[in-house]
Amino acid sequence: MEIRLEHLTKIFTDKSGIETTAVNDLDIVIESGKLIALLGPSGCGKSTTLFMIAGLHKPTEGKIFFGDDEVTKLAPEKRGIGLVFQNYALYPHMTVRQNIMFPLENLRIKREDAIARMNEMAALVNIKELLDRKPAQLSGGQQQRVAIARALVKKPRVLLLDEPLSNLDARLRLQMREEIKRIQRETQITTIFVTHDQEEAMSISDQMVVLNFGVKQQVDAPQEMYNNPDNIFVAKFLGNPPINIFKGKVKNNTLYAGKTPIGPVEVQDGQYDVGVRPEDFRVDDKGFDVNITEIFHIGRDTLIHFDESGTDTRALVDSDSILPGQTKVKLSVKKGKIHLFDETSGLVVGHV
Amino acid sequence: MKNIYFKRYRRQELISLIFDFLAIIAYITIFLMFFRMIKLPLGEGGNVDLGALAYPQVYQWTFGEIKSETVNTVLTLMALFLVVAIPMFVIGVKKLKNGLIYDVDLPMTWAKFFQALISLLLVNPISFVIKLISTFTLLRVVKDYGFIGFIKNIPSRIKQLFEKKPKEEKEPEEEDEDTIRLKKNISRQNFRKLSRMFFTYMFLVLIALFIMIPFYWMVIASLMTYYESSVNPNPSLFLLFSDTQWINYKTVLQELNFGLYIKNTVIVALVSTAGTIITTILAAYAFAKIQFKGRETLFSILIMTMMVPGEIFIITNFITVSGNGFGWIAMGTGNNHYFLAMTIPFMTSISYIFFLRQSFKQVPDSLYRAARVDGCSDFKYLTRVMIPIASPIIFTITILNILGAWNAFIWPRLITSTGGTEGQQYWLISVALRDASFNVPGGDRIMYNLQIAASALVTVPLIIIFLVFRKYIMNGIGRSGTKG
Amino acid sequence: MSKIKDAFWAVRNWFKKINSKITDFLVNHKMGFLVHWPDWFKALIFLAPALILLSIFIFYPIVNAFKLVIYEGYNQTDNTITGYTVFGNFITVLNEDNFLLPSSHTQSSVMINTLIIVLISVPISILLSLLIAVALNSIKPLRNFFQTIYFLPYVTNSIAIGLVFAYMFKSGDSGLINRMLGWFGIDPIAWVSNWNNNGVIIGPTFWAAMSVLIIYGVWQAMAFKIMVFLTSIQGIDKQYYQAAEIDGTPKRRIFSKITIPLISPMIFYIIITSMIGAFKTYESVIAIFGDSGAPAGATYTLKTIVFYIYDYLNNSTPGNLSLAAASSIILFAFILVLTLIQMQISKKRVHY
Repeated sequence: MEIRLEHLTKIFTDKSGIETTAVNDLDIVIESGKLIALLGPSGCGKSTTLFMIAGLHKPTEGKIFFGDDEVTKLAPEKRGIGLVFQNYALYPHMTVRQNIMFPLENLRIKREDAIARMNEMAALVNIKELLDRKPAQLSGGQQQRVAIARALVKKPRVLLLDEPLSNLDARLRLQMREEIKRIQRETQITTIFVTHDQEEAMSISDQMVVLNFGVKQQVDAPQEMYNNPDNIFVAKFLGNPPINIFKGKVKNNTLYAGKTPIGPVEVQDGQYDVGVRPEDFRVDDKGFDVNITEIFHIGRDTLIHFDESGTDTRALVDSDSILPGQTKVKLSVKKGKIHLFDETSGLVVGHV
Repeated sequence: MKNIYFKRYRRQELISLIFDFLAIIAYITIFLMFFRMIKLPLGEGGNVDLGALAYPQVYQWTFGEIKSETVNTVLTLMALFLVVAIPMFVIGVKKLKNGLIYDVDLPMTWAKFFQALISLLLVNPISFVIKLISTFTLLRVVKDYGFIGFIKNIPSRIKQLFEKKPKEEKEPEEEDEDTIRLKKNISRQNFRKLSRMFFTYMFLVLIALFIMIPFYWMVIASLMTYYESSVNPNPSLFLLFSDTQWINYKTVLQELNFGLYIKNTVIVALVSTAGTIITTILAAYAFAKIQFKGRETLFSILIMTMMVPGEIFIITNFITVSGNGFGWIAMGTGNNHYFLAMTIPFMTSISYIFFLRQSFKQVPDSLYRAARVDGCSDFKYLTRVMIPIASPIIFTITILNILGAWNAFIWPRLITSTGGTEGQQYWLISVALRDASFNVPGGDRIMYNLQIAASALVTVPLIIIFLVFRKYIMNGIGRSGTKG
Repeated sequence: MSKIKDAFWAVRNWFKKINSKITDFLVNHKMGFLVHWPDWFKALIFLAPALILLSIFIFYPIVNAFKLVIYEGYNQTDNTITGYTVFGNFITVLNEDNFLLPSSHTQSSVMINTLIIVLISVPISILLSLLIAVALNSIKPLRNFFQTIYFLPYVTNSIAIGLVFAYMFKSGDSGLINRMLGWFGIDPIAWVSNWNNNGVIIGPTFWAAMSVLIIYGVWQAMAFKIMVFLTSIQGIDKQYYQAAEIDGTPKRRIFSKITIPLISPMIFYIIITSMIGAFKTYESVIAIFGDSGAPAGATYTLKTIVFYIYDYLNNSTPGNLSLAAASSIILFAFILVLTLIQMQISKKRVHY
């Protein structure tokens, strides 16, 4: 089920009349049958967008399409969606079985079919042994699986998840995100999940939508977005350790870092923000000299800090190429991995 | 290993509880049987001769004649048995539901033993035997030896009692000033602590006596003869079992019509409570979950009216229900609907709406949204989700409302007083207590024994309800802060 | 069992079917508004039962009380009035024989009685309850037992126990209290009824009768206060006490400098609510003394303001309802003043 958002806008007005634009003119096409991440910092409008797709918020402007149907004015229960809330929203007084069966009571299917479906879902998310427990007797991960089962039992067209992993501890998070990927692959339902954790989004999603202050920044497959960020915000948001940004000058189609020429580039002369990811540095005898200010050995990699044009820069290199206590090293940058961004608009303009 | 014994213990507990329950049923049956035997003495002309109540009588039953003293003794005995057996049973049931193996320790074993003894006193030999067995099962759980081990231990324990402990060689300690002062301080502290404990408990016991004396006197006086209660300048503070005049209660119920009044009160309590629950649930849900304009304003108005004293409402409501309004009490003409007037004005209560709204608000909104996404309507959400989650609160409101109806006085009195003798048929018990005549026939001396028996009849159900639902009542009052 | 559940499901499905048929029909005929109820309409339906009852029996009476108060000579049987007066009824009430000041043949007035009850029984019950709560808080074993006993008076019937109190305080040798006094060598006192002591009829003094009322009031009122104070004291963070203990603070100072200030908001709330409750004393008077409001043949009265109101109400002389309304509005004024005082001071003075 392909989802299309056209010019979607949501403005909240509070009691004193102050308006906040949560989502600003969003135009997105979400491919059918894929696992999509809505990614962005807190307050960027991702949950609002999700709720508008669900039908719990009415958009101020714009349209939403599920496939060929326009659902903008449609009530949530008519859209055929499944929604998993951040705190799972399981009914505390009902058993797991009753929780999962609850949505089916509102559909017109026979009871035997309902029970069959419930069992199917319970098997899919691996909670068959927990069917007679109450939510309070389950762990966080188990509760979430029940919530997913409940959302899927209606055989919805779209599955929506609001920050599904933020309430889990670190180890469970790893486990559950793989579970989500597996479930999505088995059911082939178009799935959208909201998160602020870029590593999580990058690891399992087929496509990422990055938002900032309600404005779409980039829509791409994770690795694509990582390697070719459309603007400086996306570049800075993805990647751990984060990308290094310093000031650079272009003169006569050549990029200079300070006085040193780096390479040729097809942009106009002027000042630019230059971005290089820490892992794109190489220890290279033919590279440029660098005074190491700090060394952190992290097992397989080593993080070194050095100063470049006044900015504290990080480089992530093989542990084998740096000796502890080393103070000088020669580095170079992989081809095409120096990104140039316009100083005012932040848009990417070229690579070196 | 311990688990097996614990499971066995629980099984034995269950069996003994069943027998306890049967015993309670037996006590109640015997009580009712003997109570039915009591016949009110008839005077000339076939009317009940209240003056003759005090004299010992002879009743007929299946085995011939029986003296009223015996009947009284049996009744008192059964009442005492019930007073002991029912709480023990209730506590036993609660323990069985929640019992964990971790709660088991030696004091609990002793407690079980005492329970066995009590069962014996209550003439329940089967329960006694079972409880005794379960005591030893419990002992096995706690101390790993059972009855046999216990018996084996006895000789060695007796020996221990009589052995003198060998005096340990104490090294002569240099007790310097600091040690002496420290020891003195500690002993002084201990003394202070002990005396504080003592005085605290004394104080609490005195207050407890102050609270309980009216209840005690109520029970005693209700079972006295007229002479003892109203004429004797030196009424005794205790009664022999055979002197307890259960005939007082029969008189109050039948002759003085309190059975009818109790029935009236129950009807009013049930109807008004049913109405209150329905209106309160609907209104609390609207105020808690449905967003509509003016919600907070309307709610504030309701809160403000809580400040107004009830007397203001009563005046107008009296007019409303009488001839000029709904005509339920038509002040003189027939066709009076006393029950309507006594129940309908009280089918809703702002403080309960406030109380329930608070509980509803505590249910997270995400549950509501999840239900909406599943196509659940507001009403279905209310009945399938909100009400079950808030059921303890709803139960509390039910109990508090029933208590309120039982104790209602001012309004029912106002209503029924307009009806003259016809209105008397609709008295609620508080009104009857105040307005019924307990005078000696033909005189104006009050028969206190009957009056206090009526009071006891009114109070004892309240105490029972309180003891059973104590948690709900105290929770509800603490949270809602009013008497509703 | 599951047959029943099957039946439920079938019924539900059938309902849904009819529901959706009706909905479709209405929507197709441009009557969709009937189905998609706006929130305020839904709220109206939910609130309707309660609001109707409240309007008739709460809101209307408040308004009507003020209407009645300006009627003159309102006759209930034929619903006529003889005139209007703004303050007339108030003046009549205040000038009434026994209302403000004692009249010639009574020792006391309604106002004085009420004030005595408020100013004596409230402080006594509050102090006692506070002490009891502190004592209860300091013991562990038997605490529940004592709590249960102390709470008994709250669930009892005012009239029933009032009659028992009247019987306990029976004048002459036979009353329980007099017998107990006899153990201490005190002569019997006439409390609430006349005592025929060998032909000499001794009537109770005003203060003897009033004491019985006050004792009964305290007996009844302690239960609620003890519970509230105990909960508040238990809510105090143990660390405050531990810190004071380390400093060697004597218990008395702990009580006055830590416990009391920390529960002072609750104490103040109880003071105000008890005073309001004491102003409304009525059932205890009627339980002990009956409709006459005093022992037989007494030269004084023990009636309270509320007693007065009901005296008017029970008397169907034309114009009496307005007098009842006037006195109840005076009562309301007192309560309002007390409540406003509470709201003001609770904002400023109490420690949190």
